[in-house]
Amino acid sequence: MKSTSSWWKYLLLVWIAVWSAVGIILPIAGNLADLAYLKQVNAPGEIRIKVDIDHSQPAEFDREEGMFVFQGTDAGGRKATFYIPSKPEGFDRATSLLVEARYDEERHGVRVCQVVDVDPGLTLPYIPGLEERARIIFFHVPMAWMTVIAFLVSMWYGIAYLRKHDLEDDMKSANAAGLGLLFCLLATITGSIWAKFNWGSFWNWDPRETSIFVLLLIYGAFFALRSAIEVEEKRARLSAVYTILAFVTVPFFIFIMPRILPGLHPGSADDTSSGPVMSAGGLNAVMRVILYSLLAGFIALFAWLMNIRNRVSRLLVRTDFEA
Amino acid sequence: MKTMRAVWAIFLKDVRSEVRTRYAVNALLMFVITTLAVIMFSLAGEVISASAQAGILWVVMFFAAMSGLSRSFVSEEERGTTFTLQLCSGPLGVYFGKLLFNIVLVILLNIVIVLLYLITMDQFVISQPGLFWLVIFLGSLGLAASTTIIAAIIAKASSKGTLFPVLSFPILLPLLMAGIDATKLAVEDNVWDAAWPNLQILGAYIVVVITASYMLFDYVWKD
Amino acid sequence: MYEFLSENSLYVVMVIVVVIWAGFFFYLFRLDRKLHKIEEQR
Repeated sequence: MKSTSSWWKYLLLVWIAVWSAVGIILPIAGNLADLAYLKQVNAPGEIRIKVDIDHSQPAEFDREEGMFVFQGTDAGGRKATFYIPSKPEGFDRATSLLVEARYDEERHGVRVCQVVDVDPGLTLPYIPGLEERARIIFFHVPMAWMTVIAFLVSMWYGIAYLRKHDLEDDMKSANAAGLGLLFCLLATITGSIWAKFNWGSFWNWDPRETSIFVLLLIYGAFFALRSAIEVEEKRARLSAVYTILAFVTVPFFIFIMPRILPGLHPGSADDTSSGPVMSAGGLNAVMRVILYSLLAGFIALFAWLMNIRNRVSRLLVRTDFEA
Repeated sequence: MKTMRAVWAIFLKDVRSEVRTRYAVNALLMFVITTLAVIMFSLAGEVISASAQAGILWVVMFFAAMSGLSRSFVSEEERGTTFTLQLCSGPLGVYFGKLLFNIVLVILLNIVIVLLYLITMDQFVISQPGLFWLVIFLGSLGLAASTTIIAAIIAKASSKGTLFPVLSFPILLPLLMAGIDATKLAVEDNVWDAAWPNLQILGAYIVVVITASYMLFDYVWKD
Repeated sequence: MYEFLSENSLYVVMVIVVVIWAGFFFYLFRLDRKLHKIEEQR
């Protein structure tokens, strides 16, 4: 507690800022399989795809078409012929292109409508139906996990109180729950804003939405219980018991219900299509690194806020005592 | 053996005081009748789906339990008999005695609710009676199990009446969701297999809640 | 507003990030008030 070194706090700020920026800035790029999928479901449209240029067959200008023709390979190893109105700057030295393209029925090739970037570097996968909204995973999912982690911390200190009867543990338990409530509200609000644009309404009673709602209710009930008991020891004891009781029933929601009931979130029982988003093995490596880095950042932020909150609580106890 | 005797003695004590005052029975019966009457008025012969029927049935069962079961520890606190109970028996005896009484009360209550529901609601037909009554039985056990420990918690707090449903609802929600879903399946004439995950949830819920209450009751009970 | 956001889905993500930072700001603000009260008591 005495350590006032704050280098890690600056690091934390930079860490969260950088990973958030990476999560927002990295372009989303599909591949040829996504184009084929769009053609299959009869929704031909332009999407961004990333393609490696095959320089062994030099790009030629086709007079009949009035366009350059080149061969390209995508990340999945598929090959296709690309038609592009004009060569972008640096085309001959570039290894890959990020382009807006659509499938061309007449030429059986890929028609490049616009070149977005030359040599784009890392990209995020394209998920049909989500587009840019896929980036929510970096911000909403850590909030939801933090809600559960804060709840775990709260229960941990609750158990510690029941074992050692130290009011300091009760204070930590309440403070962790307060932060958990904040994370829970943020997860709910961000989720429902996103749901409005992706699923059409703010709230759908999908099993996972129900589970975050229950967490919200539990946090609410926890604070209602605490405000109804005046004696400190009794309050500490009963609220610790309640957190433990809630924790043994909450797993039904967070870990069992969303998986056996059909729903909209990835990982539900009837989920076959959107596997790449969340199923542990399927999540793209770049996305996973960003998600876990941001989660680590938010855990550190939680620890810091919790530490500040605890210090305020200690001051509060001391001033009450002196007064 | 000694605990078993204590459980039985406390159960009998509660039954006797109930028979004498008929507080729970009278109040609960009136509560159920008024609730069902309100539902019948508002439906006015409307045809509703099986899931809505199951939902309404569980709403009545939930609120009946909420109004009846909060008394079990509050009454001891009000009459000042908590200390006597603590002297006479260990916490386990008290917990399981109260639990037993609540289970019996809730099962009887739910049977009455279902019978009244069957009589007043013509369209409510149980296609799978075995499954239906099993769900009602498991649901009653779960309701009694979680409300017993919460009643013990709120008996120590102020503003007891409002706090009881607030604390109970999140804890009971897994039970309610699984119960409503399984009831719907039993009403719609489904095979048992369809309701199996729900029955598993109900069973696991009961075991988990009773085990947790058994371990935590000591902390709630002693002052 | 709704149309703009549904056409430019990147801005939905931006709104979400702003909501999260607003949440943390709100928490810090309340903490600040609490500290202020303690300081006044002394």
